[in-house]
Order: sequence, then structure tokens, then C-alpha cells
Amino acid sequence: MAVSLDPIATFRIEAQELFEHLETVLLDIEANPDDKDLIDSAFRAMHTIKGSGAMFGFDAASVFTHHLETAFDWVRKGKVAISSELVEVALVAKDHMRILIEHPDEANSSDGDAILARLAAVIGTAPAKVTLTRAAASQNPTLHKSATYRICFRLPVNALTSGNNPLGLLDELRELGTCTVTAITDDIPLLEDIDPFTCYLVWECLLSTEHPRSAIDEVFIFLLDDMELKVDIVEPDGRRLGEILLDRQAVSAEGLDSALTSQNRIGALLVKEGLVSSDIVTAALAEQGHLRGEAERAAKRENAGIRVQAERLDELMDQVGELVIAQARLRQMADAGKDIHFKALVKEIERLSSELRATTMGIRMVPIGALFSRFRRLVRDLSRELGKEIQLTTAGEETELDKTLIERLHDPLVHLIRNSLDHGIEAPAEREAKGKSREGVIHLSAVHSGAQVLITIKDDGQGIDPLRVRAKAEETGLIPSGTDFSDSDIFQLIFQPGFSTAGTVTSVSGRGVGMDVVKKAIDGLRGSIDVTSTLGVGATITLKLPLTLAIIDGLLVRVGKSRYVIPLSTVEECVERRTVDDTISAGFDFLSIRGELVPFLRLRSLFHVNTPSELFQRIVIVSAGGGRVGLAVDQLLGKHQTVIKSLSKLHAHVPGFSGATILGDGSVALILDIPHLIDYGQTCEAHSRAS
Amino acid sequence: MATVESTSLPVKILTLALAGEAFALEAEVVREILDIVTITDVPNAPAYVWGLINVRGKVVPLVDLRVRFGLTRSDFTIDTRIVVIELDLDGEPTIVGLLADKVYEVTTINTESIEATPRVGLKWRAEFIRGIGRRGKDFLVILDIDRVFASDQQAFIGDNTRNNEITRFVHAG
Amino acid sequence: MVEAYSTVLEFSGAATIRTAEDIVIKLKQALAESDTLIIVCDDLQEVDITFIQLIASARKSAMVLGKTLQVSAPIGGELLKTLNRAGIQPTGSQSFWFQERSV
Repeated sequence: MAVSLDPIATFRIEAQELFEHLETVLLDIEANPDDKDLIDSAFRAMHTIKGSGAMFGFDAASVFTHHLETAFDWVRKGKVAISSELVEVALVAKDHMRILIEHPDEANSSDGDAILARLAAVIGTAPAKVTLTRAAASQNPTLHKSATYRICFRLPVNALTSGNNPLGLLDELRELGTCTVTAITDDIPLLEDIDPFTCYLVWECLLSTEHPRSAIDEVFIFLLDDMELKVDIVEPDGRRLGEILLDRQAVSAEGLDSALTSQNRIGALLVKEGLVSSDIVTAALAEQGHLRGEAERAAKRENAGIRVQAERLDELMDQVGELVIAQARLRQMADAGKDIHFKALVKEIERLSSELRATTMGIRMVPIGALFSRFRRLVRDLSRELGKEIQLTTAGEETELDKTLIERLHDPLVHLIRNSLDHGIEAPAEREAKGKSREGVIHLSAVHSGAQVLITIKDDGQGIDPLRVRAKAEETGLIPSGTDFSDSDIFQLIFQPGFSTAGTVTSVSGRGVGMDVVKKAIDGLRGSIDVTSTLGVGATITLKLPLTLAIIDGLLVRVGKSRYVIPLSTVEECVERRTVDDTISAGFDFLSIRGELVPFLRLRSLFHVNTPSELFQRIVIVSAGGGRVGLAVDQLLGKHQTVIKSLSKLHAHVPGFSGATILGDGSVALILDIPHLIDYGQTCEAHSRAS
Repeated sequence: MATVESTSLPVKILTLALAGEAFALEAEVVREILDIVTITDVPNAPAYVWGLINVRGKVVPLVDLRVRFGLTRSDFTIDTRIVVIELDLDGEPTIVGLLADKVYEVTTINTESIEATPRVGLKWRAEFIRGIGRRGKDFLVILDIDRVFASDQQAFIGDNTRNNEITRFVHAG
Repeated sequence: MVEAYSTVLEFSGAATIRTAEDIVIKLKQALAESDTLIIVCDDLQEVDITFIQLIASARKSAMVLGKTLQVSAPIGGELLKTLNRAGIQPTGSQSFWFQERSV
């Protein structure tokens, strides 16, 4: 169980996150070129990659990144404007930086030079050649611990005429870190007394920075002799306004005490009583806000957590699963005995293990938003390549899914989005001709629905033409011509191997892989795909996926000698039925429940059970696809909390099971996958009718 | 049949019995050997992988080698064992239990003594076999465990590939 | 109801240290002549600290005289940028910069 803590590997993981962040920010910048926060955020990401890259020996990456950082520094300083070319180059540069860090051996330096040349062309000047030494990089300011300073300063009266622009000084302070600036206007005289060239303003700044104290003095280096400057370290805690004012000697302790005796809000009160000027309270309030922000940031940093390898989480999950099984056995022992203390202890352990299991499950769940944001670049690049105008909108980013599931969803989603881009959304001119907006929209959303998660890819393109799909399917012999099919059956045909209606092969989706790849991947996750489309209006593809690995509450049933788990979320009710009127049928039969005819499946025949059947059969009514279906079983054994264990590839194509679980006695029970089981029942029925 | 090289390398193997014949598989893939445990039927599964077992909290598929080789299932005896192995299935490390009528021992065999599978006169499906080993006057059928688990289309690739496999096995020792 | 006399003072182009003396004169004049002074800054292209100080001073004077000074809002562009750079907080004595126009 050796834990590898290779700092370079850790750096690579961190860099990967930075790259993802950078990409998101760059795409945001493209949409909001005036947002200074975004530009700063991009700049910071570049700066961090450069600095820590050099620290870990990725000199090439560091030097390369420096150029991009310089370009964005110019953007920040207003020397260069954001253009879509600049964003484009930055994105390409980001990809190159990623290669330099992840696969330095594969990096091609001429690629890098070409990108830098492009960058230079976009920003107008070639940034000076830079070589970075590791010693210099190790002085990276990020190594300093962050501190918060309160900086109070009054500039010399001639500051405005002597060419020392106070705004420039304040900007320089802001560049050192997070800075809250408050101007105190109390000294501004009345209009009749004013000298317009005198600097009357006094400033109070709260600066949280990783730079040393000396960096602050450097900002004021040419004025230090003639100005008032006071720099104090502030502890970032959630202090009260009164304390801050006291600390600043803006109010006396007695004044504060007497003010506090009234019930008014303290800031307004102190001003009202003339104890402090309103600007000083403003400054104190700003300080309070700043410190609170810093404290939150610090908390966030601590919350950032630790990295755990996915397989160790799997191990933990397995061990927790074993613990739960052991605990179930313990429970059986306790139930059999009479020892009250032992029973209480078992109850306690039961509670703990169930909490432990919930926590462990929670660790594996991650929001799908990160996956969604990876598609923004794809949509952007592909729509350019295809000459289309397409906007990607998303919803439900916070929907949590098992990490493994999210990873395995990436490729199928890429495929579906590409398909929408290429075949769904029309060219801008064509859209205009149809009276649609030039810009097409692809909407990606995720939502939990019971024990499933629904992921929807919706576009407002031309939709899927059922007639064309049918013609193509008949032509290729997928279906006999003239067969009666519903549109939704027809749409399912696009997932057949070798099926493609695209007239021309494009570089985007015509790469010889069809939608069958998507189908296979989703089947592999035991999910299903639903297609709806309105010709000319758009198509919607919905992926229904089980929350694999989730603990589900199950109903344990017996069929023949075997036990099975039915997800409780699908169970509506259970009814009893005499077996005598049983007919030999592999598929569905009907059952009348309170006047409603409900089809039901005999699991005994579906599972080829040949032990003698019970006199009464229990029918579990489950909801499936909007309807109700009964499942005839031999016995109901009760509720069972289930840790889903996925089945191996050897059983991947067995119909009707979403996984397995381990029961209290250590044996394995299969978990029924209701929608697939019903499909399978229908198929069996069709076969038995045919024969 | 001349692809077997003359260099002799010792390979560790586990020997077991299936339908009265001695088989061998590379000991390297074996994790443990279990007595018969409760086996859960998987309805509608391929016949050779009809069961699931619990191995230390993991749900593990059980492969009936007899069925895989085209024989019928047999009743368990006091000697029946489950050989738990770990292998790569389409790039995914997977734990699988193999049903064996009996397990003999872990031993060493010289690659020199492995001969290519004869084309005729074999009652076993030749595509699952790497070669025939000789220990004294006994024969050992050496399993190509990857082939046993390859999907059916892949398992029926022609003889050329199989010979290459044998060569690879010899080098791998 | 008799409406108090009010003046709208519009600044455009540059309001900086170079134009500060003119601005003082204009402000003094307008404040002497009217009860309500509305400052319009929609077309300001360049602003510095001196302008901020002058308007703040005029506002103070107006309050002392029982008169009103409003900055026509919403402010934006260079003026807003400069106020932010200078650390003029939207709460406290300088809140008048940011108040909604009451029409």
C-alpha cells in the first residue's frame, strides 16, 4: 500500500487543472473581452504555470509560457486589446504548454516557435527573448506565505503636479495581491477654499499579498521622504467593526462603549454621534469585507483537499462493502441472541458503518460541470472548422455522478455533440433562409431522475428525417422494406453499426465511426438512449444512465433457488396471484389490478427455472418507461440495502442485470435492470409468438 | 511446426485436471485457489460463464473451463477447486474464477519441452491451447488463457497467429 | 408648486488637472446660481483625481448651503473606472456618485 507522492506527478495533476481552468477562462474572455477579472484570472494561471513549471524543471514550458504571460500582462495594462485571434493563439499556446508539461519528449520546438510568432503578430511586437534560470524561478513569490497589510498613506501635497499619479500607485499596490482601497475624503475643503492642484485624498488599503513587506515600500519609493505611510500587519479574522475602529484609533474605547449601549448599528451610530467620519467607517467596513473575503479564501484553500488515487477509493469502497456484509452477519448473531448490550452495540456499529458507507459513496461523486466545460472548446473549434455559428448552453452542472461514470461518458458525449454540430445544425445562411437565427444552439443538461441520471443533448438544427433513415436502413438491408415502424424505432436505427445518413464525409464526424460506438459505450454503462426529433426544428438525444456504484435500496426476492434485488425506487406495489391459472408463456401476460390491465413477466420462465413453483406467486409491480409492469417472483424476502458491484466484461451482454451485490450470508445476488429486463421480456415474447 | 525455439527457459506453471486430462497455466496469473463456495447462477449468460462468486468482497465471474472446451458441466467432487486468476480483459484488469476438477501443483517447465499444438487428433478446442508440454512421459495441455477469454470471433483466428503466440510465450518465459 | 432653480452642468472630453481651474470656476458659478446642481458626465473621456476632489468639494459646499448636488447616473466609462481605481467606495460620504437618478 505504498503511496507515491512524486512531486512532479502532483505538479502535472495541478497543471492539468490549471490548463482546464485557463481554457474555460479564455473561452469566457472571448465572450466578455472587457471583463478585467477574467483577464487577471488567465494571467494568474499563466503566471502559476510559468513559476511552478520552472520550479519542477519544466524550463521549456516555463519559458514558452512566459511569452503568453507577457502578452496577457499587456492586455491587463491596456496595451493590447483582446481579439478573437489572441484568444485563438492563447488556446493553441495552452495546448502546446500542456504537451510541454505532460509529454515533454513529444513536444516539437518548431511548433512552439510558430505559435510564438503568431502570438507576436497578434500583439504587434515580438516579446523579448527570455531565458529563465531555475534559481530565479525559485524566488517565485508564491513561495511566500500570504499576509494582509493595512496601508494608510497621505501623499505629499504636490503629488498631483509632480507627476506622481496616485491612481498609478494604487494600481501598483493592486498588482501585489488582493487589494481593497478606500479613499478618505474628509480633508477635501469647501469649494471656496479648494486648490485644485493639491492632493487632499488620503488612502487606506488592505492588501493581502504573498510579496514581502518591502514590496510595498518599493511602490512608494520616490515619495517616501515627503509622504506619510503607515503599514501594519492585520490578522485575517472576522473582527467586529468596533474593534477595527478601535484598532485604528479612530474612536476611543469610551466612545465605543457609550455608542454600544444603544441598539443602533454601530457604524451609523458612531457617525451620528460625530465620533468618526463616515469615510473612516467606510474604510473600516471595507476592511471588514476584505478580511472576511481573505478568511473565506483561506478556508477554500484548506477545503481544496487532498488527492487520492481513484483505485484507492475503489479499494475503500470494497472494504466498506465487506464491512457492511460482516456487520449484517453480526446483526444476525445479535438477533438470535438475548444479550441486550450486545444488541445495542451492534446497532451502534450498524449506524456507523452505514454512515461510513454514505461518506465513502459521497467521495466518489463529482459534479458533471467539469465534463460539460470540456465541450466548450470542442464546440468552438468545430463550429469554426465547419463555418457554423453555434452556441453551447448547459444546465445541471451541479448534478453529481460517480467519477468513473463521468470519465466514461466523455467519448460518447463528444460523439453526440459532433454529430449535432455536423449533421444537426445548419449553416448560418441556410438557417436564415429557414427563418431561424443564424446562431444554432446545442443545449447540454443533466438531471437526476430517481435512481437514474438523464443527460440530454438538444439542438435546434434540422432534426432527423425518419424517411431518410428508413430509406437508408432498407437500402443497407437493416430492415425489410415496408415494415411498420414507429418514428422512435426508426431513430434507434441510427445506432446500428455501419449506419450513416451523411451524404458527405466531413472531417468532423465522418471518420468512419458511427453512432453505434455511442450505443455500445452507453450499453456498457447499462444505460439507454432515447431519440426524439422534429424535422426542421431540432433533435434531442437523452441518455439514461444508472448511478452505478450508488447504494440503492433494493427489494430482495427469490426466483427458484436464486435471490435477486429489485431497485426499490422502481417498485410500486406487490400483489399476490394464484399460480393455477398460469399459462406456459415466456413473455408477458396480463393481470387485472383494480380494473387496470397490467402486463407481467414471469421471471421463472425468463430465467429458465425448473424447480416446482409455489402455489401463490408474488407479483412486484414496477414502473418502467411511464407504464406499469409486473414481475412474477416466488417469494418476497424483504428490503436490502445494496452496494452495486459492476459485472465483468464476461457478463456485460447478459440482458436484464445492472450489477450484483453481496448478501449478508456472503453469497452474490444479481440486481435487476428493470428497463432492460422488460425489453428482453418483449424480445422473448416476440420470439415465442413467432415460433 | 518449427517455430518453437531451442533456447530453454524455465516457466512456472500451475497444473490442474479437467475431464481426466492434465492442463497447465502460467502460475503468474494465479491469485489463489479456493474450495467450492456458494455459486450464484446468472440466467441467460453464456454457458461457460454461468456463475458468480464472492471472492473477498468482490463479485467474480466463474468460468467453467469444461463448458468452454465444449464438454458438459459436471457435478462437483471433493477435489473440485476454483482457481482465481487475474487477467486483462480488453484493457481492464479482471479477476476471474476457473472451475477445475482438481488442482495438482505449482511446478516449473522448460520451454524447450513445449511443442506446438498438433493440428489433428485433439479433443480440445485448439484455439485455446498454446502448446503441449511434456513432463517425463506425461503430457500437459498448456492453456492460452488470453484466448480462452477472448470474444468468440477473435478466438477463431487462423493458425498463423497461433504460431506467433507460441513464439511469444517462449520468449516471455 | 414653485420649482427650485436648477442647473445642469455637463462635462465632456477631459476633466483633468489641465482643466481643473476652469472646472472650479464653473462649479462655483453654478452653485451660486442654483439650488440644485446636476452634474452630467456621460461624455467624459479622461478623468483624474482632481475632478473627483472638485466634485466632492462642490457636494460638500452644496450640503453646507442647504443645496443639492447630484451626479447624473448611471455613471460609467472613464469616470466609473477612475472612481474605482481611486478607491471611492459606493457607501459612506461619496455614495452620491453612485446614486440612481431620481427622475
